[in-house]
Amino acid sequence: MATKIIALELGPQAYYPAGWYQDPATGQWYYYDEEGRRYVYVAGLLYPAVVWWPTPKVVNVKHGDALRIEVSFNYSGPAKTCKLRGEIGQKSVFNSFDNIVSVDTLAFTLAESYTPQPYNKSVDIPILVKPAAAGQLEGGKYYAIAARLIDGISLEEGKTGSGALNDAIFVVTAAPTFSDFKITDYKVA
Amino acid sequence: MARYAEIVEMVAPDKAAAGSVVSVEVKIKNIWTSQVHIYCGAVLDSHTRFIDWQDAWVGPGQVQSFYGSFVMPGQVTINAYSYYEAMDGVYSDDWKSKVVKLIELAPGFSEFVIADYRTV
Repeated sequence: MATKIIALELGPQAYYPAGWYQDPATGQWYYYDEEGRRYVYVAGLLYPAVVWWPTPKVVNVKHGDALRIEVSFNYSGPAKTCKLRGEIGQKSVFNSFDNIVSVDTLAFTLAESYTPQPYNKSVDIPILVKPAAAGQLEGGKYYAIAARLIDGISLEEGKTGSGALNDAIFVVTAAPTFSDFKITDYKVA
Repeated sequence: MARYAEIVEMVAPDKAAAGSVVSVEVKIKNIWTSQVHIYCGAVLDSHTRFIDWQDAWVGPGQVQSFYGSFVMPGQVTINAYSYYEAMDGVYSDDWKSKVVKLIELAPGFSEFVIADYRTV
């Protein structure tokens, strides 16, 4: 196994030939595949490493809201049908994006073009907070978001998808509560 | 080999995108010692004429350009012909051919960003 010493920092602009790399500062092993994707090696497994983009703002959300993620991108090529996936997740200890909720749009078609054409798309993610919705988001916590094109399109940050925005949303605690329950009447139907 | 109207050059792209307009210039030289009435025609794949019987009087040694264009349907072969007018009619003289290949489209994405996010 050829080991290469990684230089400077692992950033989104960096390109490394496929192979294993070790961060001399932390000893952490990384693997780059042939398409330039970075993986983190932990306990015998490779985890896709996500590029974390600066978070421009924090949006407070509550149960029942929908989070709209608006994206823009350019496309040139033959007509292509795809979907936009919006994701809410968390940053794992391995620096990967752990998806918790994702929503896909309906399929849309990118028109054939020989020059890059701009597109603006959006996806709405319903905010379902525990305990009203088991397995979903928890109140009082920050979550990351990301978006990408799917359906036969591989993820390339900055091209077909975003990096992840850490702590981009904060779930305001608003646990569903019931009250004033009473039988208002009873009669023969 | 041409006797009077030699096609010295056919200017056309090597590749073009489907649906794009392809411009073609056919340069014909009068190789005779006096003025000749020259005609030019050009067709796609031997059946669609896009330079249709254009003509000009061309002086000796002079080069005359004839122009035409077509919408790229797919890979095509352009055939250009020159003719000269004699006392008893118009005669075919020279021929030149060129293949225009189709540019294949490859998907390309760029500049994907999250422009905004908010509750709705």
